[in-house]
Amino acid sequence: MEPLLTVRDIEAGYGKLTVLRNVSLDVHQGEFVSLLGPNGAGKTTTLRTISGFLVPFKGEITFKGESVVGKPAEEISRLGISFVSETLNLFRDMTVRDNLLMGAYQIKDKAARLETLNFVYGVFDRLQEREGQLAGTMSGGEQKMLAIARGLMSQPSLLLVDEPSLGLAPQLARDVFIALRVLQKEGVTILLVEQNARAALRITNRGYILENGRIVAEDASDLLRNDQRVRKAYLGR
Amino acid sequence: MNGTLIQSSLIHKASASMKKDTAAWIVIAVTILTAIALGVFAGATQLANTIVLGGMWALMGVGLALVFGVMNVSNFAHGEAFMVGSYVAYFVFGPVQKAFEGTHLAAIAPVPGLLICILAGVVLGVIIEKLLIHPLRVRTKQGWVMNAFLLTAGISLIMSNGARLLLGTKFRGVTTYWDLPSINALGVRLPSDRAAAFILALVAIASLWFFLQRTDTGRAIRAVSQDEAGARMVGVRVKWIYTLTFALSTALATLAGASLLFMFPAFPTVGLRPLYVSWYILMLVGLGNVGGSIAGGFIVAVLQTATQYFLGSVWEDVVPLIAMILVLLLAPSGIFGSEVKGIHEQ
Repeated sequence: MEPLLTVRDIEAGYGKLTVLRNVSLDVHQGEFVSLLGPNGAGKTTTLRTISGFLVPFKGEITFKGESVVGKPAEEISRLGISFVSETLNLFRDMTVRDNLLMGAYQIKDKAARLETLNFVYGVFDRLQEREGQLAGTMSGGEQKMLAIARGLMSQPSLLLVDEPSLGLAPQLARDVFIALRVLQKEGVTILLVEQNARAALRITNRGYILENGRIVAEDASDLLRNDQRVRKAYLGR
Repeated sequence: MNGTLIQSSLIHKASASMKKDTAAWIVIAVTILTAIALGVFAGATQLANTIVLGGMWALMGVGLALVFGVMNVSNFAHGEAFMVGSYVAYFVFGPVQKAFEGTHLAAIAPVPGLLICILAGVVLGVIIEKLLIHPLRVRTKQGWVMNAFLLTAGISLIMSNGARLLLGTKFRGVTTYWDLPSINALGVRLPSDRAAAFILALVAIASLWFFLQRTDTGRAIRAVSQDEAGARMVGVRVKWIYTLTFALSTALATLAGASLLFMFPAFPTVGLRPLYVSWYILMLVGLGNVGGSIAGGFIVAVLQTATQYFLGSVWEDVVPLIAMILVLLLAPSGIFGSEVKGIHEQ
């Protein structure tokens, strides 16, 4: 079956600085794929390129059979790719509920919006408790939950999540990963960028390892976990 | 991390926000006291006039704050929109008044002019944004704030001088605008012109508030002003929001100009005063603070009128400006807090 997302030979960067040299990856419908690698490898750049915030110098990106390279972020969002950035980009002076409703901006049917809102509250019940609270006043962990929840409100075909556990206490990080797992079980396709390789490989089906702008390894998560090089470099054994 | 560093920065933040709140309360208290003094010494009518003026300044300030908060554009052509409103209203009102003369429609002769002005404002705003601001944004790599300011300053020059070239420097005013009886209540005699202007401002601001708070598009506008990347992530077409916001701001200004034709006749540089007042309001309440600008309009109107009454016309701008300097010293981000999106992007 054709992949939901195909990324081929991407070369991308900022001005004169090339960050991604030759990146190719696939994500199939229903998969939970991780993109791992050290700091500065280009993981965030990869997600920004896929989501349309960065236009690559070279390469092809195909989503649902359609080429999306060069399309602006808002159009790519409307095609069904939801990007949950590391910086969250929440609407800080809006309530939790308004943030979530904004997440469903593309969905005109009010009933469908409420349905998705209820689904999201079901997964993230802490958010429902804090419905009327301003996003900017919530704790770091709650904000991450809100960002992921907001990303779901558009009923995306593909969810891109950038380092959700960064800066979170272990317990909170665990909650976030559990939530992502639940989402995958509900049928959401997820591409996860994570520095926490151990946790990522435990919950995902497949993984890619990015180093210095190139994919250096690709395999089923279980196999990567047992790979000697991977264990030494990323799992600390 | 250094513990004392965190503590001192927390204290700094707390004291800064305390200063801002104190400044806000002081300004509000002074304004209320001044308003009362004005009512007592100058009479209720004068106070009513001040409130009417406040509504108009609020209209101007809100439009400017919107454009600043959403688009990060320092619109120095904002006053020229007011001028366009004045001129369009004048040139429509004349013939309409003649046509309605003697009939019972004469009472609402300004209405066609007002409606056309709103339309003119929208059209003008769309033209300026699409033809001038948008291309500049696409081309600007850095220094956006300065570029946008220079652009609007240039637009202002061209428009006011263009008006002078095409229409001459003659003052074009009206003596009676709304042919309706004046309102006499509670010892206040309010001419229909002023009453109508106030009602218009109130309706416009209330509509804008409802639009921003309760509609999808309004929420999208707020989203863009708070986090543009986040807005794009949820599918907001930011380009369209920019055009809409600018058109809205321009239409509010033309409406203000049209409503106040009886007070501010149409002439090429009539927009300067509203422009200064608008910027004054913004700096006082905090750049980009839309809600605060509404209060700001009334605060400035009270301060201006009181200064004029108690100290004389000459001091009209001096005292409020001194107040602003004090506010900038004590609470530089404005008394209600600013929502500047550009400050982190360079």
